[in-house]
Amino acid sequence: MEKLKFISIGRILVGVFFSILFTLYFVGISYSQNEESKFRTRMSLDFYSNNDKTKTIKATVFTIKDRIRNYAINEKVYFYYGERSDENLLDSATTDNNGIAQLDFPEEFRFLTAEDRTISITAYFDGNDSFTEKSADINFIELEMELLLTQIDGSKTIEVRAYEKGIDDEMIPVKIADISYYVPRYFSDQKIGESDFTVGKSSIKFPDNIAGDTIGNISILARIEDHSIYGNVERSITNFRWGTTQPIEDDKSLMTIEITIPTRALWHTNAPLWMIITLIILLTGVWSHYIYVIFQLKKIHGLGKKNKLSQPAK
Amino acid sequence: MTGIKTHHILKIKIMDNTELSLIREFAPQLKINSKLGQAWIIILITGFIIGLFGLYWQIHKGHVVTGMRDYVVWGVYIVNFIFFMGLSYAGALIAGSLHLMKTAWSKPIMRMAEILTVVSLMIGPLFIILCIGRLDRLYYLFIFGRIQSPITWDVIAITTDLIGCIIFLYLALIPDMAILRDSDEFKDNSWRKKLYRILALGYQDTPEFNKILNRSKNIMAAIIIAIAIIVYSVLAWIFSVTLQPGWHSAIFGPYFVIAAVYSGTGVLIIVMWLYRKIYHLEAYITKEHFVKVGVLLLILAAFFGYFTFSEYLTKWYGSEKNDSFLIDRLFSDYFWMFIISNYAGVIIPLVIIGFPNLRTINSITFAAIICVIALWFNRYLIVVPTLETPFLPIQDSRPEFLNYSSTWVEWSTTLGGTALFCLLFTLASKFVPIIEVYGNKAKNGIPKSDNPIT
Repeated sequence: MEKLKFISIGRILVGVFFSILFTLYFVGISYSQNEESKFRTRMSLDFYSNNDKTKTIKATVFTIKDRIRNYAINEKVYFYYGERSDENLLDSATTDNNGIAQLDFPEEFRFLTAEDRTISITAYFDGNDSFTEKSADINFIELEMELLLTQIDGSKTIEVRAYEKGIDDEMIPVKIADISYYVPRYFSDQKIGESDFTVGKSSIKFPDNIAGDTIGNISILARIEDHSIYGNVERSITNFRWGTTQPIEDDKSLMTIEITIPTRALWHTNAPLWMIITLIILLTGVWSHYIYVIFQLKKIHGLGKKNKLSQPAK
Repeated sequence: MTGIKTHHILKIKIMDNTELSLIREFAPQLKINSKLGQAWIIILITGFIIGLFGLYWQIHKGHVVTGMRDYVVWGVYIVNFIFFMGLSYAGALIAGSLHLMKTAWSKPIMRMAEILTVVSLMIGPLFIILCIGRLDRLYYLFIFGRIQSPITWDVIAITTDLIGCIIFLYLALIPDMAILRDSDEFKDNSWRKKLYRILALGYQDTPEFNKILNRSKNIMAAIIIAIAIIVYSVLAWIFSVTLQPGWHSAIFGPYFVIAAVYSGTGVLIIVMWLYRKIYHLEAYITKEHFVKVGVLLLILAAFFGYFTFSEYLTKWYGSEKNDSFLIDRLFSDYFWMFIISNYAGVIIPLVIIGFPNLRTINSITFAAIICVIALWFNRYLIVVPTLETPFLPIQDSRPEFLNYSSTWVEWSTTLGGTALFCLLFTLASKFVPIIEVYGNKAKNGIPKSDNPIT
C-alpha cells in the first residue's frame, strides 16, 4: 500500500514538474513574442539636389530583425521645418515598398533657411502595430553647382563650380567637400576620378582611354555624396564626344567580342540554303530508290510477259 | 531452252498443288458471305456517312460548329491526325524491321502491319483537311508552299511516305496475287481474277522473279523505316519548332517516334486478336506471336515512360513560368487524363507483360487496348492544354474561347474517319489474304522455292 502511495505521489510530483515546465515555456514564448511584436524603428533622412536642379528629401523607415531590413510600407511620414508643430509642417508622404517616403520640390522652390544658410528638416513617423514611433532630422545647406567641360590644346578638363546659397542670393564658395566623377555605364557608373574644392572650384583631367559609344559620345556625372552639410548633389552633361570609339589595342589583357545578332528570315521568299540542300539530298535519296524499285517492277512485268509467251498452250 | 521451260512449268506445278490448297483455307475471308460480315460493312458505311454529314455541317456552318476557337485552334482533329499517322509509322517500322530481320515467326502478322501502314496513312491526313478552314484553298499548299514552312515539310513527307508504303505493300502482295490469279477459287472472268492478273505482273515463283522481288523488297523495307522515323519526326517538329510551352522540346522527335510505335504496336495486337477470333486463325496466329509482339510493347512502354518522365521532369524542374502553368493545368484540369495517359498507359502494360505468368492472349490484348487509349489521351494532352496556356495574357475573352470543348461535329467526323479506317482495313483483307500465303507454305511441309522471299 505504502509503495503504491509513494508511486502515486511520485507521479503527481513529476506531473507538477512538467506542468510548471510547460507553463514557463509557453509563458516565455508568449512574453518574448509580445516583446518582439513591436520592433525598434530606424529612420534615415537624406537631401538630394538632383541633376535637373530639382530637390528631393527622402526618409527611409525600417527595422532590422535577424540582420534583415523590414521596411514600413504604405505608412505616412510627416516633414517639418525644425520642431513638430502644425505651423512648421512642410508636407507629408507615404512610404513605398522600400520604406521610402519622398518629397520632391521643383527648381524654383525655396526652403526656409536660418541665418547661417542652413535648412533644418525633421521627419516624423507615428508608428503602428509593428513599428515603434520614430523621428529623424537633417540640417543642410543648398548648393548652387555647375559642371563645365573645357578642352585646351587637346587637354580635356572637367571643372565643377559650387557655391552655398545664402540669404538674398549671396553666393559663398564651397571650401571643404570631396567630389567624384563618373561615366554612366550599362550596369553601374564608372568612376573616372575625384577631387576636392579650392575656393568653390574643383577640376580633374579627363582620362583619354574612356570608351564612348560608336561615335565616342559619353555622359559625365559629378557627385557630392552623403556630405554632412550639402547632402547629395549631382550634375551631369550628356552626349559629349570625349570618349574613344575604338577598343584599346595596347592592353592585351582586354578582349572585345563582337556580337553579331543572327537574323531570322524564315519569312523570306527564299528558304535557307542548308534547308534546300538537306531537302534535295533527302528527296533525291528516297525518290531515286522509288524509281529504281518501279523500274524493277517493270522488269518483273517484262519477264512475266516473256514467260507467258514461252509457256506451252494448255 | 527446253530445260528452262521445264523448270518454269515445274514451279507452276508446285504452286498449283500446294499454295492453292492453302489459298482455299483463306478463301472464306476473301468473300463477304456471312451476315455478320455484311452487317459489319453496313455499320462501317453508316459510320462513314455520319462523318460525311458532320463534314457537310462543318462546311455549311463554318468552323464555329467545332470547339476550336482563337486560342485553341487545334483540337480532336489534330489529335486524330497524330494518332493515325503514328499507327502508320509504327506499321512501317514493324513491317520493315521484321522483313529485314527475316524472322520466320513474323510471317502471319506481317501483312497486317503492312495494311495498317497504308490504311492509317490514308486516313490520318483526312483529319488535317477537316482542320483547314478554307478547303477551297487547299491546293495553295502545293502551288505556294514554302520549303521553310514545317507544314510544307509535312506535306512532302507524308506524300513521299504514302507512296513508299504503297510500293512496299504492293511488292509484298505480288506473290499472293499470283497465287490468287492461279487459284480456281474465283471464276476466270470475274473482276477479281482480272485484277489479280494485272497486279501480279506475270510473276512466277522462280529464282529469277524472286531475285528481283527480294532485292526490291529489301530496299523498300530499309527506305520505309528511314522515312517513318523522319516523317514522324517532322510531325513532331511542327510542334517543337514553336516556342509554345510543352512543345518546344529537343526530344520531341524521338518522343513522337516512340509514342507512335508504341500505339501502333498496340493496334497491331488488337487487329491480330480480332482476325484470329473472327476468321479462326488460331493455327497461324498463336500465343507465341502475341507474346513476341507483347514483349515489343513492353519495351516500348518502358521507353515511352522514360521519355515522358524526362520531358516533364525537365520542365517541372526548370520552373519556367509558362511551363509551370501548363504542368499545373495538367495536374488539375486534366488530372485523370494525365494519370491514364502517362501512368496507367505505362504501368499496366509493363505489369501484364512483364510477368510471364500474366501473359495470355487476352491479357496482352487488354494491355494493348490500354496502351491505345492512353496514347490517344497523350496526344490530346500534347495539343489542347498547351494551346489553353498561351504566352500572352488573356483579357476580356469568352470562356469558350479559352477552354476547348469538342462538339458533336468533331466526334461525328472522328467516327467517320475511324469507320473509314476499319472499312478500308476490312476491304483490304477481302482483297488479299490477311496472312501471307506465299510465306506460309513451309508450314505445311512443302519445300520453298530455290530463292524464297523470307
